[in-house]
Parts: sequence; structure tokens; C-alpha cells
Amino acid sequence: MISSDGIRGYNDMMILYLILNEPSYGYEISKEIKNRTNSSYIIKETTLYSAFTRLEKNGYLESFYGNETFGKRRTYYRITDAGIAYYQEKCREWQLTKEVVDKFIF
Amino acid sequence: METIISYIDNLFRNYPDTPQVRRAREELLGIMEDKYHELKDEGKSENEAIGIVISEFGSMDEIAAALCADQQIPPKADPGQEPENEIRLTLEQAVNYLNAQETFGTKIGFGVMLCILSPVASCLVSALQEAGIFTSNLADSLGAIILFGMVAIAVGIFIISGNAVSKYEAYKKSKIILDYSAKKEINGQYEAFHQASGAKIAVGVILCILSVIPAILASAIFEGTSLYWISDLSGSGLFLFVAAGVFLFITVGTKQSAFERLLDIGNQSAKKAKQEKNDKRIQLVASIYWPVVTAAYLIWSFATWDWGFSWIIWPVAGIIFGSISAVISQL
Repeated sequence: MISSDGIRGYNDMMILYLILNEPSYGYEISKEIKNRTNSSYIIKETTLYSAFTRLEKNGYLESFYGNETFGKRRTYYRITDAGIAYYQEKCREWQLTKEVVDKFIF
Repeated sequence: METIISYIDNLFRNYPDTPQVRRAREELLGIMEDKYHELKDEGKSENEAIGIVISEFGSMDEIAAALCADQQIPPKADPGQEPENEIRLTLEQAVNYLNAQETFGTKIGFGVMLCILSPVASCLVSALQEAGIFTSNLADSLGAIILFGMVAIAVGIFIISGNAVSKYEAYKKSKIILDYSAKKEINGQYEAFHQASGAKIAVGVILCILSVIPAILASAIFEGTSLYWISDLSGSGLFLFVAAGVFLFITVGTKQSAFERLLDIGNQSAKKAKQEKNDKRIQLVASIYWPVVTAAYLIWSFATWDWGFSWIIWPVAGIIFGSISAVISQL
């Protein structure tokens, strides 16, 4: 299991990646992160929620209410154009970070 | 699932009930609920599922920014308009306030009852005199003395009970913010109260309508008989009914407004400016109106010594005042 500190700067990127093609909702995003990393990284609910509000405030994603299923109304998140640009920028940043950190791996 | 809900409620206990906080709670609970159901579907036990959900929740510190990040900065106050104050109350303070208002309502209701019932003694005395049961030179004065005695006690009650709640004066001028659990609790109490209050108001209205029945019955039965004085006596029945009805209105009304203030029902803060202006105008009118009515009542009564009839000035004056207030509020 990875520490939350180490991955902090990349939560935004992971969330944006998971809504690049279609909107999604809180638990689905959290589940996808867990499945794609083979449970190496489990995002905390509070981390996820604070990322949602921060990304929304910066205009990188939009939230909307989905259809009611079983009496439950889910909040869905949709990426914006600014969000796509931000995601691409984070990808480039990660490439650079990786190259730098790799220099110190033996 | 109840364990998870109470876990969340507990974490949010000290946060004010703002849209941001409500949204955060709803969203976090939504994710936890989804996760809980999926874990249960995977065959996890209740305890295991709850354990995993709670252990993966995280820390409230992380969402602190989300809880107040886009909290609205109050718009700059217009010159001449006081900035809006906010008071945050805990559940205990809110309950104390409700209880104080309830006691206040009961006392005021009792005082008003005394005022309404104050002419009953005069009715009684004059009826007894006509019946020849009680004759004395003092008889007429006695009715008046009891009347003033009761009004004096009522005024005393008004002043003392008004002082007792004066420490809550600030609640009227500010917007009250309850934390999440307090709001939930007070809302629950309000719902219970609301159901009972409807019935009480209905009983009060029925009492007021029925108040004329003793008089009508008595005059139909006893008028023209040797027991004609009973129909005079029955006039006081009207006061008893009305007093009981008004007591119900006042006690229910004060508690209702305490709830409205706590829960900010009907956006009190927005209405308040207009309300305050109206209250001031109505107060001004009342401060002239009631002394004039009282003077008229006393002059008429002492001039004619017709205490048994002159009380009619009060219900009439009350209805007229109600109409005046209604007109002022519309201006």
C-alpha cells in the first residue's frame, strides 16, 4: 500500500483520467483507482472529496446530478476543456518527475 | 449502515449547517454507502464492511478547505444598514432558548387571561346584586377593585417575564446558525410541536366561537323569568371561553416563533428588516391607541357606572386594533 503523502500531487490527475471519456461518480472513481492499482493505492473518501471540490473550483470538472436510481441521487463529475489541458500538463510534469527520481534509483 | 451514518453525523457534529457542509456530508455518505453495499455483496460481514468503510474514510482535516472554501463573503453592507450578525448555538443553548420562550409564553398567556377575565368580577357582582343575593354599598366598587387588581397583577407578570427573556434579545437581531446535529434535533422537535399546535389552535378557535353560546342559551331560557339575572351572569362565560382560547393562541404562538427563529423558517433574516419597521410603526400606534381606549373605558364606566356593559369596548377595540395592524403591515 502506497502512502497518501507520496502520491498527493497526482490524485487530481488520476481522477481526471478516469472521467476523460465519460462522466463518473464518487464510488466508481474510487473503485477504479483501487482496481487499476491492484489495491496498491486506495484513495480515502475525504481525499477524493477534497479533490472534487478543488478541481471544480478551478474549473477542471463540473458536477451534475445523475438520474435517480433506487431513490438515490448521485453526483456525477464531467471533465471540462480546462480540465483536459490541466491533465495533459500533469502528465508532462509526471514524465519529468519520473526522469528526475529515476536518476536516484539503484 | 446506521453505524456509518452515526459515524458521519458525529464527525459533522460541530460544523454549521451550510450548503457546503450539507453537500460534503451527502457526497461522502453516498460514496461510503456504495462501498458498504458492494462489500456486503462480496460476502463481507456487517462488521467487516463497516470496518473497511470507516478505515478508508480519511480525515476531516482534509476536507476542511472544502467546507469553507467557497463560503460566501457577506456583501459589503450598504451605508446605514447594519451588517448582519450571526450567532452560532449549540443544541443545549437552543433547547434552553426554547424552554425559556415556552415559559415566557405561558406567563404572558396567563397575564392576558387575567386581563380578559378582569371584568368578570363586575359582571358577577352586578348579577348577584340584581338577584338580591349580595347587596352592599361597596358592591359596585368591589367589582372595579378586583378588575384593577387583576390588571395590576397581569402587568407585573408582563414586566417580570419580559425581563427574564431579555437576555435572548440578541437572538432576534441575528441570524441563528445551528450545528448539524442540533438542527436535526430541533427539526424533530418542531415537527412534533407542529402537529400538536394545529390541534391547539383549532381548539382555541372553537372556544372563541362557542364563547357566545352560554349568553345566548341563558338569555333564551331565563330572560323574563325571575332568574333573569342568570343571563347577566352568563356574560362572564364569554370571557372564560375567550380567555382559554387566547391562552392557547399565545402559548402556541410564542413557541412557534421560537422555532421559526432557531430554524430560520421563511428566511427570517430577509423578512426582518421589513418586520422591524412594521413593528416600530405598530408600537407607535399602540402606544397612543391603548391609553386612549383605556381612558375612554374608564371615563365611560365611571360616568355611567355601567361596568356590566362598558367592557364591550375591549373586544371592539381589540378587533379594530387588529385591522389597524394589518393595514400598517401592508403599507
